[in-house]
Amino acid sequence: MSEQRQPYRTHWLTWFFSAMVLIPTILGFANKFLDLVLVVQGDEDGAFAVTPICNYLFATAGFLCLFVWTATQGAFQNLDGPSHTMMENEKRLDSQP
Amino acid sequence: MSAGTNVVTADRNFPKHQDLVEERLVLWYFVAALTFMTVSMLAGTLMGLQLIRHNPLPAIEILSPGRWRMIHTNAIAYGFLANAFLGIMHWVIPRLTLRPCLNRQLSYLIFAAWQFVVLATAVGLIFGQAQGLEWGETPVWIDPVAQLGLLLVAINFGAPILQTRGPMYVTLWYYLAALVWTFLTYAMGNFVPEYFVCGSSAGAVGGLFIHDLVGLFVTPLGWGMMYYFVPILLKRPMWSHGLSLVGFWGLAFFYPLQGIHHFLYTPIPMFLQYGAVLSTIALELVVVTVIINFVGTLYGTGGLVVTNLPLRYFYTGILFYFLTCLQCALQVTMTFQALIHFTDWVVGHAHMVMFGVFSMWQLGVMTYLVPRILKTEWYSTKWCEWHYWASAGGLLVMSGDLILGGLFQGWSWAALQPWDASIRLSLPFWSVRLVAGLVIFAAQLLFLLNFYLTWRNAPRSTSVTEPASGLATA
Repeated sequence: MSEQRQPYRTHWLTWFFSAMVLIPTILGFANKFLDLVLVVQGDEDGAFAVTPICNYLFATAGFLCLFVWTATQGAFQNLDGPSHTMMENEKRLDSQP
Repeated sequence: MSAGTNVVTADRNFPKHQDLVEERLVLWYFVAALTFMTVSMLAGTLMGLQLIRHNPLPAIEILSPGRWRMIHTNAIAYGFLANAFLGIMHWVIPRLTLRPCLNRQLSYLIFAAWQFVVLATAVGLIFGQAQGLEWGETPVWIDPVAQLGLLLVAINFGAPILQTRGPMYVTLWYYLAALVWTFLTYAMGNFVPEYFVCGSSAGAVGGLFIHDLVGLFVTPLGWGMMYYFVPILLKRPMWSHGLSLVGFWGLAFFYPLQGIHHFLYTPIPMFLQYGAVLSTIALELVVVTVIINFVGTLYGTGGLVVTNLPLRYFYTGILFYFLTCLQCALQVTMTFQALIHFTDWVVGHAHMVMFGVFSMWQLGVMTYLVPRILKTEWYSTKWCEWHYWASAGGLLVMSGDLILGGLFQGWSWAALQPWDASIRLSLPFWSVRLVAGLVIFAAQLLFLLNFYLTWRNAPRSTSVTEPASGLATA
Protein backbone atom coordinates (compact mmCIF):
# COMPACT_ATOMS: atom_id res chain seq x y z
CA MET A 1 0.00 0.00 0.00
CA SER A 2 1.41 3.36 -0.95
CA GLU A 3 1.93 5.57 2.04
CA GLN A 4 -0.62 8.38 1.99
CA ARG A 5 0.55 11.87 2.79
CA GLN A 6 -1.40 13.50 5.60
CA PRO A 7 -3.08 16.81 4.93
CA TYR A 8 -1.03 19.61 6.47
CA ARG A 9 -3.85 20.80 8.76
CA THR A 10 -4.42 17.42 10.42
CA HIS A 11 -0.69 16.90 10.77
CA TRP A 12 -0.37 20.29 12.48
CA LEU A 13 -3.37 19.68 14.71
CA THR A 14 -2.07 16.31 15.80
CA TRP A 15 1.22 17.77 16.99
CA PHE A 16 -0.47 20.78 18.57
CA PHE A 17 -2.86 18.69 20.62
CA SER A 18 -0.10 16.20 21.43
CA ALA A 19 1.85 19.04 23.01
CA MET A 20 -1.24 20.35 24.78
CA VAL A 21 -1.87 16.93 26.26
CA LEU A 22 1.69 15.89 27.03
CA ILE A 23 2.95 19.06 28.73
CA PRO A 24 0.31 19.17 31.50
CA THR A 25 0.52 15.40 31.85
CA ILE A 26 4.24 15.53 32.50
CA LEU A 27 3.81 18.46 34.90
CA GLY A 28 0.99 16.64 36.70
CA PHE A 29 3.03 13.48 36.95
CA ALA A 30 6.03 15.35 38.34
CA ASN A 31 3.80 17.07 40.88
CA LYS A 32 2.31 13.76 42.02
CA PHE A 33 5.72 12.19 42.27
CA LEU A 34 6.99 15.07 44.40
CA ASP A 35 4.01 14.61 46.71
CA LEU A 36 4.80 10.94 47.02
CA VAL A 37 8.39 11.74 47.97
CA LEU A 38 7.15 14.13 50.67
CA VAL A 39 4.80 11.48 52.02
CA VAL A 40 7.56 8.91 52.18
CA GLN A 41 9.73 11.45 54.02
CA GLY A 42 7.24 11.53 56.86
CA ASP A 43 4.59 14.14 56.17
CA GLU A 44 1.82 12.51 58.22
CA ASP A 45 -0.94 14.65 56.74
CA GLY A 46 -0.27 13.17 53.36
CA ALA A 47 -0.22 9.54 54.45
CA PHE A 48 -3.74 9.10 53.12
CA ALA A 49 -2.39 9.72 49.66
CA VAL A 50 -0.07 6.75 49.37
CA THR A 51 -2.67 4.31 48.03
CA PRO A 52 -4.14 6.49 45.26
CA ILE A 53 -0.70 7.73 44.23
CA CYS A 54 0.61 4.17 44.04
CA ASN A 55 -2.46 3.27 41.97
CA TYR A 56 -1.78 6.13 39.62
CA LEU A 57 1.94 5.32 39.34
CA PHE A 58 1.07 1.71 38.63
CA ALA A 59 -1.40 2.63 35.93
CA THR A 60 0.87 5.25 34.39
CA ALA A 61 3.80 2.85 34.27
CA GLY A 62 1.58 0.44 32.36
CA PHE A 63 0.53 3.11 29.88
CA LEU A 64 4.13 4.22 29.45
CA CYS A 65 5.26 0.66 28.65
CA LEU A 66 2.36 0.32 26.22
CA PHE A 67 3.21 3.64 24.61
CA VAL A 68 6.89 2.72 24.16
CA TRP A 69 5.95 -0.69 22.80
CA THR A 70 3.52 0.95 20.37
CA ALA A 71 6.16 3.35 19.11
CA THR A 72 8.60 0.51 18.54
CA GLN A 73 5.91 -1.32 16.54
CA GLY A 74 5.76 1.61 14.12
CA ALA A 75 2.22 2.65 15.00
CA PHE A 76 3.04 6.33 14.60
CA GLN A 77 4.72 6.12 11.20
CA ASN A 78 1.69 6.08 8.94
CA LEU A 79 -0.95 7.63 11.15
CA ASP A 80 -3.90 7.46 8.77
CA GLY A 81 -3.02 4.09 7.25
CA PRO A 82 -5.10 1.90 9.61
CA SER A 83 -8.16 4.07 9.00
CA HIS A 84 -8.06 3.49 5.22
CA THR A 85 -7.31 -0.20 5.70
CA MET A 86 -10.32 -0.58 7.97
CA MET A 87 -12.62 0.94 5.35
CA GLU A 88 -11.16 -1.27 2.65
CA ASN A 89 -11.61 -4.43 4.73
CA GLU A 90 -15.19 -3.52 5.59
CA LYS A 91 -15.97 -3.08 1.93
CA ARG A 92 -14.52 -6.48 1.12
CA LEU A 93 -16.35 -8.20 3.97
CA ASP A 94 -19.68 -6.73 2.87
CA SER A 95 -19.17 -7.53 -0.78
CA GLN A 96 -18.83 -11.26 -0.14
CA PRO A 97 -21.64 -13.48 -1.44
CA MET B 1 2.12 -3.20 2.29
CA SER B 2 2.64 -3.72 5.97
CA ALA B 3 1.73 -7.16 7.27
CA GLY B 4 -0.04 -5.49 10.12
CA THR B 5 -2.60 -3.75 8.01
CA ASN B 6 -4.58 -7.00 7.93
CA VAL B 7 -5.40 -6.67 4.25
CA VAL B 8 -5.25 -10.09 2.64
CA THR B 9 -4.45 -9.68 -1.01
CA ALA B 10 -5.95 -12.86 -2.41
CA ASP B 11 -9.76 -12.88 -2.16
CA ARG B 12 -9.87 -16.61 -1.68
CA ASN B 13 -7.87 -16.18 1.51
CA PHE B 14 -9.96 -13.31 2.72
CA PRO B 15 -12.02 -14.42 5.72
CA LYS B 16 -15.79 -14.54 5.45
CA HIS B 17 -18.05 -12.59 7.75
CA GLN B 18 -19.96 -15.69 8.83
CA ASP B 19 -16.71 -17.38 9.86
CA LEU B 20 -15.73 -14.38 11.94
CA VAL B 21 -18.86 -13.12 13.68
CA GLU B 22 -21.09 -15.23 15.92
CA GLU B 23 -24.24 -13.30 15.02
CA ARG B 24 -26.55 -15.35 17.23
CA LEU B 25 -24.49 -14.39 20.26
CA VAL B 26 -24.64 -10.71 19.32
CA LEU B 27 -28.44 -10.94 19.32
CA TRP B 28 -28.50 -12.84 22.62
CA TYR B 29 -26.41 -10.13 24.24
CA PHE B 30 -28.77 -7.48 22.92
CA VAL B 31 -31.79 -9.33 24.33
CA ALA B 32 -30.05 -9.70 27.71
CA ALA B 33 -29.05 -6.04 27.68
CA LEU B 34 -32.55 -4.80 26.92
CA THR B 35 -34.04 -7.13 29.53
CA PHE B 36 -31.77 -5.75 32.24
CA MET B 37 -32.45 -2.23 31.03
CA THR B 38 -36.16 -2.89 31.59
CA VAL B 39 -35.42 -4.13 35.12
CA SER B 40 -33.22 -1.13 35.79
CA MET B 41 -35.80 1.35 34.54
CA LEU B 42 -38.52 -0.35 36.58
CA ALA B 43 -36.32 0.08 39.63
CA GLY B 44 -35.65 3.71 38.69
CA THR B 45 -39.38 4.32 38.34
CA LEU B 46 -40.04 2.85 41.80
CA MET B 47 -37.31 5.04 43.24
CA GLY B 48 -38.79 8.06 41.46
CA LEU B 49 -42.19 7.26 43.02
CA GLN B 50 -40.57 7.00 46.44
CA LEU B 51 -39.07 10.48 46.07
CA ILE B 52 -42.50 12.01 45.50
CA ARG B 53 -43.86 10.03 48.48
CA HIS B 54 -45.82 7.47 46.47
CA ASN B 55 -43.87 4.31 47.17
CA PRO B 56 -46.06 1.49 45.80
CA LEU B 57 -44.27 -1.15 47.90
CA PRO B 58 -44.14 0.22 51.44
CA ALA B 59 -43.10 -1.88 54.44
CA ILE B 60 -41.56 -4.69 52.37
CA GLU B 61 -37.96 -4.90 53.49
CA ILE B 62 -36.52 -6.70 50.49
CA LEU B 63 -38.20 -4.21 48.15
CA SER B 64 -37.18 -1.10 50.06
CA PRO B 65 -36.19 1.91 47.93
CA GLY B 66 -32.55 1.83 49.00
CA ARG B 67 -32.20 -1.64 47.54
CA TRP B 68 -34.16 -0.78 44.39
CA ARG B 69 -31.80 2.12 43.84
CA MET B 70 -28.81 -0.22 43.80
CA ILE B 71 -30.65 -2.54 41.40
CA HIS B 72 -31.17 0.50 39.16
CA THR B 73 -27.50 1.49 39.00
CA ASN B 74 -26.01 -2.01 38.92
CA ALA B 75 -28.46 -3.35 36.32
CA ILE B 76 -27.60 -0.46 34.02
CA ALA B 77 -23.83 -0.78 34.47
CA TYR B 78 -23.39 -4.55 34.47
CA GLY B 79 -26.68 -5.70 32.95
CA PHE B 80 -27.38 -3.25 30.15
CA LEU B 81 -24.13 -1.48 29.28
CA ALA B 82 -21.80 -4.45 29.77
CA ASN B 83 -24.06 -6.89 27.89
CA ALA B 84 -24.56 -4.50 24.98
CA PHE B 85 -20.84 -3.76 24.80
CA LEU B 86 -20.00 -7.47 24.81
CA GLY B 87 -22.46 -8.13 22.00
CA ILE B 88 -21.11 -5.24 19.94
CA MET B 89 -17.53 -6.38 20.53
CA HIS B 90 -18.47 -9.79 19.13
CA TRP B 91 -19.29 -7.95 15.90
CA VAL B 92 -16.55 -5.33 15.80
CA ILE B 93 -13.39 -7.12 16.93
CA PRO B 94 -13.54 -10.07 14.51
CA ARG B 95 -14.33 -7.77 11.58
CA LEU B 96 -11.50 -5.40 12.45
CA THR B 97 -8.88 -8.02 13.16
CA LEU B 98 -10.18 -10.46 10.51
CA ARG B 99 -9.90 -13.15 13.14
CA PRO B 100 -12.67 -14.76 15.21
CA CYS B 101 -12.63 -14.61 18.99
CA LEU B 102 -10.33 -17.07 20.69
CA ASN B 103 -12.88 -19.80 21.31
CA ARG B 104 -16.54 -20.09 20.35
CA GLN B 105 -17.48 -22.26 23.33
CA LEU B 106 -15.71 -19.83 25.62
CA SER B 107 -17.79 -17.01 24.14
CA TYR B 108 -21.00 -18.83 25.05
CA LEU B 109 -19.65 -19.72 28.48
CA ILE B 110 -18.86 -16.06 29.14
CA PHE B 111 -22.36 -15.09 28.06
CA ALA B 112 -23.92 -17.54 30.51
CA ALA B 113 -21.48 -16.66 33.30
CA TRP B 114 -22.08 -12.94 32.90
CA GLN B 115 -25.86 -13.36 33.15
CA PHE B 116 -25.30 -15.40 36.30
CA VAL B 117 -23.11 -12.65 37.76
CA VAL B 118 -25.69 -9.94 37.06
CA LEU B 119 -28.63 -12.01 38.33
CA ALA B 120 -26.72 -13.09 41.45
CA THR B 121 -25.82 -9.45 42.08
CA ALA B 122 -29.48 -8.47 41.85
CA VAL B 123 -30.52 -11.23 44.24
CA GLY B 124 -27.70 -10.35 46.64
CA LEU B 125 -28.68 -6.67 46.65
CA ILE B 126 -32.36 -7.44 47.22
CA PHE B 127 -31.43 -9.58 50.24
CA GLY B 128 -29.22 -6.89 51.73
CA GLN B 129 -25.75 -8.21 50.96
CA ALA B 130 -24.50 -5.03 49.32
CA GLN B 131 -20.85 -4.06 49.60
CA GLY B 132 -20.40 -0.52 50.90
CA LEU B 133 -19.12 1.04 47.70
CA GLU B 134 -21.06 3.08 45.17
CA TRP B 135 -21.43 1.08 41.91
CA GLY B 136 -19.38 -1.67 43.54
CA GLU B 137 -22.20 -3.01 45.71
CA THR B 138 -21.76 -6.43 44.13
CA PRO B 139 -21.87 -8.86 47.09
CA VAL B 140 -18.37 -9.93 48.14
CA TRP B 141 -19.00 -13.58 47.27
CA ILE B 142 -19.70 -12.63 43.65
CA ASP B 143 -16.61 -10.47 43.25
CA PRO B 144 -14.18 -13.35 42.54
CA VAL B 145 -16.61 -14.84 39.99
CA ALA B 146 -17.01 -11.47 38.26
CA GLN B 147 -13.24 -10.97 38.31
CA LEU B 148 -12.73 -14.37 36.70
CA GLY B 149 -15.39 -13.53 34.12
CA LEU B 150 -13.56 -10.30 33.22
CA LEU B 151 -10.32 -12.23 32.85
CA LEU B 152 -12.00 -14.65 30.44
CA VAL B 153 -13.45 -11.73 28.49
CA ALA B 154 -9.98 -10.18 28.23
CA ILE B 155 -8.48 -13.46 27.00
CA ASN B 156 -11.26 -14.20 24.52
CA PHE B 157 -11.23 -10.74 22.91
CA GLY B 158 -7.58 -9.95 23.54
CA ALA B 159 -6.32 -12.93 21.54
CA PRO B 160 -7.45 -11.73 18.09
CA ILE B 161 -6.35 -8.16 18.85
CA LEU B 162 -2.88 -9.20 19.98
CA GLN B 163 -2.46 -11.37 16.88
CA THR B 164 -2.64 -8.34 14.61
CA ARG B 165 0.67 -7.02 13.35
CA GLY B 166 1.67 -3.44 12.68
CA PRO B 167 -0.34 -0.27 13.27
CA MET B 168 -3.73 -0.91 14.84
CA TYR B 169 -6.92 0.98 14.14
CA VAL B 170 -7.88 3.25 17.03
CA THR B 171 -10.93 1.14 17.94
CA LEU B 172 -8.67 -1.79 18.73
CA TRP B 173 -6.53 0.46 20.93
CA TYR B 174 -9.57 1.50 22.91
CA TYR B 175 -10.83 -2.07 23.16
CA LEU B 176 -7.50 -3.55 24.15
CA ALA B 177 -7.01 -0.93 26.83
CA ALA B 178 -10.58 -1.34 28.10
CA LEU B 179 -10.09 -5.09 28.54
CA VAL B 180 -7.09 -4.48 30.79
CA TRP B 181 -8.45 -1.39 32.54
CA THR B 182 -11.82 -2.96 33.38
CA PHE B 183 -10.14 -5.97 34.94
CA LEU B 184 -7.81 -3.77 37.04
CA THR B 185 -10.51 -1.24 37.94
CA TYR B 186 -12.89 -3.93 39.15
CA ALA B 187 -10.15 -5.49 41.26
CA MET B 188 -9.12 -2.12 42.70
CA GLY B 189 -12.64 -1.07 43.66
CA ASN B 190 -13.99 -4.35 44.95
CA PHE B 191 -11.00 -5.76 46.80
CA VAL B 192 -8.72 -2.89 47.92
CA PRO B 193 -11.23 -0.98 50.11
CA GLU B 194 -12.80 -4.23 51.33
CA TYR B 195 -9.64 -5.97 52.50
CA PHE B 196 -6.59 -3.67 52.41
CA VAL B 197 -7.30 -0.01 53.23
CA CYS B 198 -9.83 1.89 55.30
CA GLY B 199 -10.96 5.42 56.18
CA SER B 200 -10.10 8.30 53.86
CA SER B 201 -7.71 6.15 51.89
CA ALA B 202 -10.53 3.73 51.12
CA GLY B 203 -12.66 6.74 50.17
CA ALA B 204 -9.99 7.89 47.74
CA VAL B 205 -9.82 4.43 46.17
CA GLY B 206 -13.62 4.36 46.00
CA GLY B 207 -13.54 7.68 44.14
CA LEU B 208 -11.01 6.28 41.71
CA PHE B 209 -13.19 3.20 41.22
CA ILE B 210 -16.39 5.09 40.44
CA HIS B 211 -14.63 7.40 38.07
CA ASP B 212 -12.53 4.74 36.38
CA LEU B 213 -15.58 2.57 35.86
CA VAL B 214 -16.93 5.37 33.70
CA GLY B 215 -13.61 6.44 32.21
CA LEU B 216 -11.73 3.19 31.78
CA PHE B 217 -14.59 0.74 31.19
CA VAL B 218 -17.52 2.55 29.59
CA THR B 219 -15.70 5.40 27.83
CA PRO B 220 -13.08 3.41 25.88
CA LEU B 221 -15.63 0.80 24.85
CA GLY B 222 -18.03 3.56 23.80
CA TRP B 223 -15.54 5.62 21.81
CA GLY B 224 -13.98 2.50 20.32
CA MET B 225 -17.44 1.62 19.06
CA MET B 226 -17.98 5.12 17.63
CA TYR B 227 -14.65 5.14 15.79
CA TYR B 228 -15.80 1.95 14.09
CA PHE B 229 -19.46 2.63 13.27
CA VAL B 230 -19.39 6.33 12.35
CA PRO B 231 -16.93 5.97 9.42
CA ILE B 232 -18.85 2.92 8.20
CA LEU B 233 -22.19 4.71 8.19
CA LEU B 234 -20.66 7.82 6.60
CA LYS B 235 -18.71 5.65 4.13
CA ARG B 236 -15.56 7.71 4.70
CA PRO B 237 -12.58 7.30 7.03
CA MET B 238 -12.11 9.36 10.19
CA TRP B 239 -11.02 12.93 9.50
CA SER B 240 -7.71 12.27 11.27
CA HIS B 241 -6.68 8.91 12.64
CA GLY B 242 -3.64 10.58 14.24
CA LEU B 243 -5.87 12.93 16.20
CA SER B 244 -7.92 9.97 17.39
CA LEU B 245 -4.72 8.46 18.80
CA VAL B 246 -4.07 11.71 20.70
CA GLY B 247 -7.51 11.27 22.23
CA PHE B 248 -6.74 7.71 23.21
CA TRP B 249 -3.39 8.41 24.85
CA GLY B 250 -4.76 11.52 26.52
CA LEU B 251 -7.48 9.40 28.10
CA ALA B 252 -4.90 6.85 29.19
CA PHE B 253 -2.66 9.35 30.96
CA PHE B 254 -5.25 11.75 32.37
CA TYR B 255 -8.19 9.69 33.47
CA PRO B 256 -6.67 7.79 36.39
CA LEU B 257 -5.78 11.10 38.05
CA GLN B 258 -9.32 12.28 38.36
CA GLY B 259 -11.22 9.98 40.70
CA ILE B 260 -10.73 12.22 43.70
CA HIS B 261 -12.90 14.91 42.11
CA HIS B 262 -15.87 12.86 43.33
CA PHE B 263 -14.73 13.57 46.88
CA LEU B 264 -13.96 17.27 46.94
CA TYR B 265 -14.33 18.91 50.35
CA THR B 266 -13.55 15.67 52.16
CA PRO B 267 -10.64 14.75 54.50
CA ILE B 268 -8.65 13.55 51.47
CA PRO B 269 -5.49 15.74 51.22
CA MET B 270 -6.08 18.95 49.31
CA PHE B 271 -3.13 18.45 46.96
CA LEU B 272 -4.84 15.30 45.71
CA GLN B 273 -8.14 17.15 45.31
CA TYR B 274 -6.44 19.97 43.39
CA GLY B 275 -4.58 17.43 41.22
CA ALA B 276 -7.91 15.85 40.29
CA VAL B 277 -9.43 19.25 39.52
CA LEU B 278 -6.56 20.29 37.25
CA SER B 279 -6.41 17.02 35.36
CA THR B 280 -10.18 17.09 34.83
CA ILE B 281 -9.96 20.53 33.28
CA ALA B 282 -6.95 19.41 31.22
CA LEU B 283 -8.90 16.40 29.94
CA GLU B 284 -11.23 18.83 28.21
CA LEU B 285 -8.44 19.40 25.68
CA VAL B 286 -8.49 15.70 24.94
CA VAL B 287 -12.27 15.80 24.59
CA VAL B 288 -11.93 18.71 22.16
CA THR B 289 -9.65 16.61 19.93
CA VAL B 290 -12.26 13.87 19.80
CA ILE B 291 -15.14 16.24 19.08
CA ILE B 292 -13.15 18.06 16.35
CA ASN B 293 -12.39 14.71 14.76
CA PHE B 294 -16.00 13.55 14.65
CA VAL B 295 -17.30 16.91 13.45
CA GLY B 296 -14.54 16.94 10.81
CA THR B 297 -15.58 13.46 9.69
CA LEU B 298 -19.20 14.58 9.35
CA TYR B 299 -18.26 17.83 7.59
CA GLY B 300 -20.09 18.20 4.27
CA THR B 301 -22.50 15.36 5.00
CA GLY B 302 -24.36 16.80 7.98
CA GLY B 303 -27.72 16.13 6.37
CA LEU B 304 -27.22 12.43 6.97
CA VAL B 305 -27.79 12.98 10.67
CA VAL B 306 -31.39 13.77 9.76
CA THR B 307 -32.01 10.83 7.43
CA ASN B 308 -29.84 8.12 8.97
CA LEU B 309 -31.29 7.09 12.34
CA PRO B 310 -28.28 5.19 13.79
CA LEU B 311 -26.06 8.12 12.84
CA ARG B 312 -28.50 10.47 14.54
CA TYR B 313 -28.20 8.39 17.71
CA PHE B 314 -24.40 8.59 17.48
CA TYR B 315 -24.16 12.34 16.99
CA THR B 316 -26.81 13.00 19.64
CA GLY B 317 -24.61 11.01 22.03
CA ILE B 318 -21.55 12.96 20.91
CA LEU B 319 -23.38 16.23 21.60
CA PHE B 320 -24.38 15.02 25.07
CA TYR B 321 -20.80 13.88 25.63
CA PHE B 322 -19.51 17.34 24.89
CA LEU B 323 -22.09 18.85 27.24
CA THR B 324 -21.26 16.45 30.08
CA CYS B 325 -17.53 17.08 29.71
CA LEU B 326 -18.15 20.82 29.70
CA GLN B 327 -20.16 20.32 32.88
CA CYS B 328 -17.27 18.32 34.32
CA ALA B 329 -14.80 21.14 33.74
CA LEU B 330 -17.11 23.55 35.57
CA GLN B 331 -18.40 21.36 38.36
CA VAL B 332 -15.00 20.18 39.55
CA THR B 333 -13.91 23.72 40.42
CA MET B 334 -14.07 24.19 44.17
CA THR B 335 -16.35 27.24 43.90
CA PHE B 336 -18.89 25.46 41.75
CA GLN B 337 -18.60 22.27 43.76
CA ALA B 338 -19.50 24.12 46.96
CA LEU B 339 -22.89 24.87 45.40
CA ILE B 340 -23.75 21.54 43.75
CA HIS B 341 -22.15 19.05 46.17
CA PHE B 342 -24.67 16.27 47.08
CA THR B 343 -27.42 17.91 44.98
CA ASP B 344 -29.47 16.50 42.11
CA TRP B 345 -27.16 18.33 39.69
CA VAL B 346 -24.87 15.32 40.00
CA VAL B 347 -27.75 12.91 39.36
CA GLY B 348 -28.71 14.85 36.23
CA HIS B 349 -25.11 14.80 35.08
CA ALA B 350 -24.85 11.05 35.65
CA HIS B 351 -28.04 10.37 33.67
CA MET B 352 -26.80 12.53 30.82
CA VAL B 353 -23.57 10.52 30.67
CA MET B 354 -24.96 7.04 31.09
CA PHE B 355 -28.15 7.33 29.09
CA GLY B 356 -27.61 10.40 26.91
CA VAL B 357 -24.22 9.26 25.70
CA PHE B 358 -23.46 5.58 26.09
CA SER B 359 -26.96 4.13 26.05
CA MET B 360 -27.89 6.26 23.05
CA TRP B 361 -24.82 4.99 21.21
CA GLN B 362 -25.64 1.40 22.04
CA LEU B 363 -29.28 1.82 21.05
CA GLY B 364 -28.06 3.35 17.78
CA VAL B 365 -25.80 0.37 17.14
CA MET B 366 -28.71 -2.00 17.90
CA THR B 367 -30.93 -0.03 15.50
CA TYR B 368 -28.27 -0.54 12.84
CA LEU B 369 -27.23 -4.14 13.55
CA VAL B 370 -30.50 -5.91 14.38
CA PRO B 371 -31.92 -5.67 10.82
CA ARG B 372 -28.52 -6.60 9.38
CA ILE B 373 -28.30 -9.73 11.48
CA LEU B 374 -31.95 -10.73 11.11
CA LYS B 375 -31.96 -9.99 7.35
CA THR B 376 -35.17 -8.07 7.55
CA GLU B 377 -36.28 -4.49 8.02
CA TRP B 378 -37.53 -3.28 11.37
CA TYR B 379 -41.14 -4.31 12.01
CA SER B 380 -41.94 -0.62 12.30
CA THR B 381 -39.51 2.12 11.29
CA LYS B 382 -41.96 4.64 12.73
CA TRP B 383 -41.57 2.99 16.14
CA CYS B 384 -37.80 3.31 15.74
CA GLU B 385 -38.25 7.05 15.19
CA TRP B 386 -40.54 7.26 18.24
CA HIS B 387 -37.94 5.36 20.22
CA TYR B 388 -35.28 7.89 19.32
CA TRP B 389 -37.34 11.01 19.96
CA ALA B 390 -38.82 9.77 23.23
CA SER B 391 -35.39 8.64 24.47
CA ALA B 392 -33.56 11.81 23.48
CA GLY B 393 -36.39 14.16 24.47
CA GLY B 394 -37.07 12.36 27.76
CA LEU B 395 -33.41 12.43 28.66
CA LEU B 396 -33.09 16.11 27.80
CA VAL B 397 -36.04 16.95 30.06
CA MET B 398 -34.88 14.64 32.86
CA SER B 399 -31.28 15.82 32.99
CA GLY B 400 -32.21 19.48 32.50
CA ASP B 401 -34.78 19.21 35.27
CA LEU B 402 -32.38 17.54 37.71
CA ILE B 403 -29.54 19.96 36.91
CA LEU B 404 -31.82 22.94 37.53
CA GLY B 405 -33.30 21.34 40.65
CA GLY B 406 -29.78 20.72 41.93
CA LEU B 407 -28.99 24.42 41.70
CA PHE B 408 -32.09 25.29 43.72
CA GLN B 409 -31.16 22.66 46.33
CA GLY B 410 -27.64 24.07 46.54
CA TRP B 411 -28.88 27.63 46.97
CA SER B 412 -31.34 26.46 49.61
CA TRP B 413 -28.57 24.81 51.62
CA ALA B 414 -26.21 27.74 51.10
CA ALA B 415 -28.90 30.01 52.54
CA LEU B 416 -28.98 27.74 55.61
CA GLN B 417 -32.67 27.03 55.15
CA PRO B 418 -34.07 24.00 57.00
CA TRP B 419 -33.64 20.63 55.27
CA ASP B 420 -37.43 20.36 54.84
CA ALA B 421 -37.39 23.50 52.72
CA SER B 422 -35.04 21.93 50.20
CA ILE B 423 -37.23 18.81 50.09
CA ARG B 424 -40.34 20.88 49.43
CA LEU B 425 -38.71 22.82 46.61
CA SER B 426 -37.38 19.56 45.12
CA LEU B 427 -40.78 17.85 44.82
CA PRO B 428 -41.85 19.60 41.58
CA PHE B 429 -38.48 18.74 40.02
CA TRP B 430 -38.77 15.12 41.14
CA SER B 431 -42.28 14.96 39.67
CA VAL B 432 -41.05 16.19 36.29
CA ARG B 433 -38.16 13.72 36.51
CA LEU B 434 -40.63 10.87 37.06
CA VAL B 435 -42.70 11.85 34.03
CA ALA B 436 -39.58 12.14 31.87
CA GLY B 437 -38.40 8.77 33.18
CA LEU B 438 -41.74 7.18 32.28
CA VAL B 439 -41.45 8.55 28.74
CA ILE B 440 -37.95 7.06 28.42
CA PHE B 441 -39.16 3.76 29.91
CA ALA B 442 -42.11 3.59 27.50
CA ALA B 443 -39.73 4.21 24.59
CA GLN B 444 -37.53 1.29 25.60
CA LEU B 445 -40.54 -1.02 25.95
CA LEU B 446 -41.63 0.02 22.46
CA PHE B 447 -38.13 -0.76 21.16
CA LEU B 448 -38.21 -4.16 22.86
CA LEU B 449 -41.59 -4.94 21.29
CA ASN B 450 -40.30 -3.79 17.89
CA PHE B 451 -37.25 -6.01 18.32
CA TYR B 452 -39.44 -9.02 19.18
CA LEU B 453 -41.79 -8.51 16.23
CA THR B 454 -38.85 -7.96 13.86
CA TRP B 455 -37.22 -11.17 15.04
CA ARG B 456 -40.52 -13.04 14.62
CA ASN B 457 -40.74 -11.82 11.02
CA ALA B 458 -37.13 -12.69 10.23
CA PRO B 459 -36.33 -15.49 7.78
CA ARG B 460 -35.24 -18.75 9.41
CA SER B 461 -31.68 -18.78 8.08
CA THR B 462 -29.44 -15.98 9.27
CA SER B 463 -26.19 -17.10 7.75
CA VAL B 464 -25.60 -14.31 5.24
CA THR B 465 -25.32 -10.63 6.13
CA GLU B 466 -26.91 -7.92 4.04
CA PRO B 467 -25.01 -4.65 3.79
CA ALA B 468 -27.36 -2.22 5.51
CA SER B 469 -30.74 -1.60 7.01
CA GLY B 470 -33.29 0.79 5.59
CA LEU B 471 -32.85 3.21 8.48
CA ALA B 472 -29.13 3.50 7.81
CA THR B 473 -29.24 4.84 4.30
CA ALA B 474 -26.34 7.09 3.44
